[in-house]
Amino acid sequence: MTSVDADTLVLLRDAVGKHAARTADGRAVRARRSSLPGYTPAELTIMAEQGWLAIGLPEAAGGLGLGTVAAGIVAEGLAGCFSADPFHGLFLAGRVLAHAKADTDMLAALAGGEILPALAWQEQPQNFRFPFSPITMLSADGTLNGKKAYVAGAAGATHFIVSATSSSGLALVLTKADAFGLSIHHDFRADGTPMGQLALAATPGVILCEGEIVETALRAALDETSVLIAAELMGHVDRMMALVIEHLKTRHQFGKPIGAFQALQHRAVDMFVQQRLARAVLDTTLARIDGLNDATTRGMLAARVRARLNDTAQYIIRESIQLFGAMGITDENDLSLHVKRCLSLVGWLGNSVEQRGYYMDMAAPLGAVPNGRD
Amino acid sequence: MPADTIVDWNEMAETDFRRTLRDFIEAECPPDLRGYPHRFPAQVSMPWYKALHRQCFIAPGWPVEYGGMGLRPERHLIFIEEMEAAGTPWLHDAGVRNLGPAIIAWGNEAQKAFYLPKMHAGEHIWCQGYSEPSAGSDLASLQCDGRFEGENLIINGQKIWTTSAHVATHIFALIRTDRSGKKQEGISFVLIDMSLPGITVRPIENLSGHPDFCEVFFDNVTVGATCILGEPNKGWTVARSLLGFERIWAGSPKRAFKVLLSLRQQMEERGLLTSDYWRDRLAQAIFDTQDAQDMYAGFADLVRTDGAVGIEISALKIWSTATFQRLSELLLEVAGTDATLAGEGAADLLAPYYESRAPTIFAGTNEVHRNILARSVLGLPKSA
Repeated sequence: MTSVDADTLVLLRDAVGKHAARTADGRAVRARRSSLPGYTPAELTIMAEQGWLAIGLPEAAGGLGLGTVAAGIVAEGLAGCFSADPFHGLFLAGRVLAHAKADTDMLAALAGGEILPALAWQEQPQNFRFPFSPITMLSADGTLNGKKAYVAGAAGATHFIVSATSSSGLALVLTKADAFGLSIHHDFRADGTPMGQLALAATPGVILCEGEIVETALRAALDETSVLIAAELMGHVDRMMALVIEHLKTRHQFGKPIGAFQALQHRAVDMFVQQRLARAVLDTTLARIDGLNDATTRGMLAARVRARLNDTAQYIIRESIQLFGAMGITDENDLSLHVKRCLSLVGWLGNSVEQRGYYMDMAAPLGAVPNGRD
Repeated sequence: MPADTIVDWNEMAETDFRRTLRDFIEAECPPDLRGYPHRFPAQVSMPWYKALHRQCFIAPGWPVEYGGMGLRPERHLIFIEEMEAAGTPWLHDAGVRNLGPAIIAWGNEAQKAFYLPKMHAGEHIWCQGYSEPSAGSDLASLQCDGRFEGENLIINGQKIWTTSAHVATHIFALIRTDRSGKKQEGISFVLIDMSLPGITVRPIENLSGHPDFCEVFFDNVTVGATCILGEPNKGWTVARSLLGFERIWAGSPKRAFKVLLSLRQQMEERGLLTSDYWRDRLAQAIFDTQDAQDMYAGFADLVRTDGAVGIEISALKIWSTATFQRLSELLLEVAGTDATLAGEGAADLLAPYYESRAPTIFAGTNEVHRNILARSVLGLPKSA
């Protein structure tokens, strides 16, 4: 990928920001809870029209080739309308296809929103540890048997990219959503958006790739999507902060704005410190991630930014609710939409404990801790 | 000052600049003085001070005409980074660091001619007399009294937490010379020779056992009015102008990185790296420090582009200093009962613990920084 010039990113940030401001509708988000597919057709159309679905895909496949840095800006901006769905799931699927050197026609169809693939890689709630050995099996006759869980974008998906254990190690297999023997059960996340569980029984599929490339592709795509989730979390952190600072300035008790009390000021400042820290880590990560060819460096960077944003989001949620008082624990307050969305994200593709474990797995062979210089 | 060393340090390639500094440190800085987290007595570190003086490296931020290197802020930051990375000894250098730029900015020609060369050469060792027993965070309420008598100023009162006062030959002090107006007005910035009669210094031993700061008492100390830097009663303005880009340094995570190294070594020696629990704690420590480094680098970029850092720099100071403390406490946890023992050198597990206490207090307590951020960045109402 060629490096993206700053002006392009500014324009993109502006476009996503305008879209979010125009379409943010808390009432609609609440009304959509626990329904399928968890987003409106219009949202998907806009993402395709704006080129956001093509952003992370290679230019050779009809994508924009702008990388994770640009996708991160989209994800962060979409926090302004309370959720980036179904952006992450499609980015994850697209990136794994790109890393797996999939057929360019398929990527072009994804870029245009004509097919909606979903990656089905996870089987256990704590799966973010490599090497990865799925229980789902690819038989010699080319059929899949097993179960997959926590599939983002399963509702509305036209295809599934399924990781499976095969005679040659690992395989990525493409199945159609309506393929024989495939059944989907939908669970709903904290924010009311669905996550699919797949059952596969003698389900036919086409092998996309086999062998070492599977884990390479999975790790790369998961790292990149993890960064994207961090970016969306940053968007929610900023918006929660804006809500809570406004509240501190306008809510009066004891005859003055509660933001005049030093005890609350210092709590708000500590939140700001974490917000600023998280922003610094995210900026650094986005500036570096697309240029990294080394899986270890990339993985360590992704793990670090995710852990920071996970922890910051949890902290900002806790403090925001407290500073809002009773208003903080109502669903009516738009804070709740950010809270529930963050809760749907922080445990997905590796909570902080998993991220730290992932990082240490990669760091241990290096035999050193960072020294701040190289 | 050798004429053949006139080099444009700002235009030199960064790698060359760094290599020049490294070569110089290697050649001139005594190895047995490196890597200590406290100041040595002045006579011990003086050979290094003198070497910096001879090379005109002692005052990197001063203009070249005064014997400085004329470094722009971003270069100056690199200079500090290299010195810190090599573990060069901390100097009693409040003069060249803080007072020098103030004299260059506010001093008259006689003051410049008299003070700057002696400070540069290490003949005068300066300490900074700002805090008083009742004026710490609320510095502007300082009371140390200065009374004009003809051409003279008679000083009575006390300063405290005066770093290096026990080795200093001179002190630059904020003295209350007028009590009629607002508390920030009526303060003068006074340059005082500490050999004058009436000055008493009492060193204060700090937690780690080093006398680093002192109390300084003034009993009818008489100085000429020519010892006032800038206008009389305008000392607050002079003092405030010293807060430059170097504030970023108070937030550098470099000390935390050192603890990180000790943490890993200790965990390895104690066989803890195979434990999921301790691995997780180490990863947290790594993340907290690396993340601070990202934040630091972001502000260093600001110095590069803007030549200054904004008010938000306080966030870095708060985080980095708190991280340094947390890591030093984790080091004690890792060591178990060994943490109760007073060790020496590398085995001194308590050294980082003690060393990490002061940074949340000096350069503005973290609470004062929180007040600043609350008002100036978050725009919260004036505190109740």
